[in-house]
Amino acid sequence: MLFTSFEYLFVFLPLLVCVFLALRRLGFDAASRYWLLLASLGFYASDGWLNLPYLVLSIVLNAWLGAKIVHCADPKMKRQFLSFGLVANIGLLIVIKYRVLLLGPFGFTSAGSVAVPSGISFFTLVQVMYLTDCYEGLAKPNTAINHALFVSFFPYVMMGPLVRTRDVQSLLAPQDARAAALDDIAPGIEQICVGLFKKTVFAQSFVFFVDTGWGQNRPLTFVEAWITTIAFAFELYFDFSGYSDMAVGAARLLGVKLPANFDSPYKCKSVIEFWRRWHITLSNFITTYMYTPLLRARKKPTFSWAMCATVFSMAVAGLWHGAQWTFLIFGILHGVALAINHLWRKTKRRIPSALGWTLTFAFVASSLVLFRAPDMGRALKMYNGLLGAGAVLGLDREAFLGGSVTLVRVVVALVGVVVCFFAPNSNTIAKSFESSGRRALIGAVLFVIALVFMNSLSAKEFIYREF
Amino acid sequence: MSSKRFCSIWAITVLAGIVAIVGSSLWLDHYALFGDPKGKVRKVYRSERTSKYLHSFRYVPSNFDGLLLGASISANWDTSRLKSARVYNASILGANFFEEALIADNALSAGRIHWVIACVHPYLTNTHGRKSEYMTPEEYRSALGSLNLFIEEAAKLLTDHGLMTGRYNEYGAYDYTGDPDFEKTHGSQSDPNAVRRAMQVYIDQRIKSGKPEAQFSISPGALDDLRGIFATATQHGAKVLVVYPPIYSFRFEVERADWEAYWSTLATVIPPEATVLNFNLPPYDVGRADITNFHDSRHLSKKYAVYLVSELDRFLAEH
Repeated sequence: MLFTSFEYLFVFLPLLVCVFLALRRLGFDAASRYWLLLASLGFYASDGWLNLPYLVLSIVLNAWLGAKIVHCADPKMKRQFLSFGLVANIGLLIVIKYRVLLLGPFGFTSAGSVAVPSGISFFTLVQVMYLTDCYEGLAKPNTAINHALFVSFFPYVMMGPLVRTRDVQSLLAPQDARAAALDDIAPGIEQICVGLFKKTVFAQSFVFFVDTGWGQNRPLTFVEAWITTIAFAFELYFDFSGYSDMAVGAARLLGVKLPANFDSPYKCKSVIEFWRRWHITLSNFITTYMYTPLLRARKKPTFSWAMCATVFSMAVAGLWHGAQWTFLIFGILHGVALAINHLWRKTKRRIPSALGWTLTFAFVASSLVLFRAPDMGRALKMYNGLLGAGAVLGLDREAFLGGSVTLVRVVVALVGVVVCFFAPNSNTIAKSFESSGRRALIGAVLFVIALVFMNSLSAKEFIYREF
Repeated sequence: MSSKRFCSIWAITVLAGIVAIVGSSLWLDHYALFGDPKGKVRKVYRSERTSKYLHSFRYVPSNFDGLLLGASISANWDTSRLKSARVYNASILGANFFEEALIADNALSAGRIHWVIACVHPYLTNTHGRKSEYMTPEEYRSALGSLNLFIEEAAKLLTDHGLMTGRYNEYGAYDYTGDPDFEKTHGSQSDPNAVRRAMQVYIDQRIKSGKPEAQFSISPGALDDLRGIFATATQHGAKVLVVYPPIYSFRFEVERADWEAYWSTLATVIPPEATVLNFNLPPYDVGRADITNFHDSRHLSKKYAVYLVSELDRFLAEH
């Protein structure tokens, strides 16, 4: 079930929230959590019943391991439980998601016959964070039911944001009857409206140009290649940040405040800043659970060791997105860019803001070619176009500007670009929330416009659903 | 302001917006889907696939007794000229029989269509499956308020006020002569010498390659689609007429073996009770030899399409 489907917006979510609030109001706190768990599992299973066993297995195993780690008095045993948990989680992810990449070169073509369960990349990382937090004494062990709810909570089970138990205490700890008041409903609704608008109006408007560019069999001109590449950068941003807003909004309706995932990343003037503001929860995970332990592996880490750790961590982060060499290269590229950026900072030289922004945006947008390309061959073709290896000027107007809805798409896409750079972002909007008639009206208008766009063609998948 | 009041204002505004959009869509009923479709006049303005697909639900079965299926080759056959039957031209630019079957299934299910005329050309049988994101069941819902609907309404308004040229009539026929959109990809017919040259280039290439054009390869799925259309027509009591459109005679002579092989394959799916009208047989030789009867290597000129429809009319009257 997609966040941008009518059944989600008009049946699933309202029904879930109403029953949840009613149960809380009547004082059935435990029942309200059972209800959330049931609905979350139903939501997850709506993507395919066969996915459910993986999730359930992961929940049962990690709930048991979490308890073992916390209650074990022997530090050695404790560490062994943690090691086993990490190997089991990461191992399962590798076996399921990366088997084709790993075994393909050895001729095991049948390795790809088992489907990858939805959201496995996300809930595996959530489990890893949970076990580590249990080991470090940062989290208490969840009960089986609480752990199931923590992992399968429908707003983030498929595509994040990645959360730790401390982020969702209001979901797991017993609440008094009045806790889930209507006060959380209004900001939740507003955030859902903003997210839905970003996805269905802005992201979908860029899809046309992206699909047109990538759909061409001939080499693209410099202009066409950059239009396609920049359009994809905006599509990905509006798609994923729109999803994240809807996830945060949905959780807020239930009184849970999830961490933000984006903070105007395209306004950044350096790659270091970019990774602090793009897919924030993943960046935090990589920093805390990969980069820092790598750094600590040496008693006196040098600058070059830190840079090696950065490149390695980013390579793994790239590969986390999918079993393709393009993702690995994407990660390595960003790792190297971060290293260069750190090296530049050490020189204490400054570059003009405009140049910093241009370099950062051009690098990020062009690196996302690897995100979109089905294989390295297609990525290289796009890079040829971006570097002007073929024709420089020229635009196939029929392909890029033909079609009955293109003018609308062009206008909406341009508005999207302006919004991305000059309008307050979702976090600012959420922080400045005030319950006023004007904001209710704006939210409603955004929602209705989004519905019209949503109804225009069959709802599109979120890009991160594939990861 | 209380959160409760915020939610109330939000919910009332959303409800009012939905009611306004859905209400106006129901009232305008652009595709004749909601009210009584009998006697209504509906045309295609911008999105041919969406419009013809949605017309096939109620507009076509209520106002027509025949259906012409095909691609751009038969798009300009103005079926309003037929006197023996009211035939809706459901031909779609770039369509294959999978897409045409979607229309046929809808239109035939009401049981009021007496003729199914299939204009069969290799272009339609070369591929199988959906060729666009349009013509899905979700499109029915989009008639209640969507971007496509608003653009169609705007185009209707502009056409009605003479600010845009309407190229489709209420029979679904599309007059592409002089349409810049069509001529961008298919050339203009205003210079017969240019058409002749283009045809010669095509023929020369065909001779040089020594192989039939890739389009002659038939997708097994397309044969199943066609078989399905015929079966549905027969099941709903409609007569089937298979039409092989005329091919420029000089091109035809070069490709004769390919065409004959193609027709013999097609013959395996045509039901015995169906009638075949082949415009490439001797009675039509004179017309086929005249380059001014063609728009390009395959599409017909307007005057030849008119002649063809008159022949079709004579045939329908006899049957």
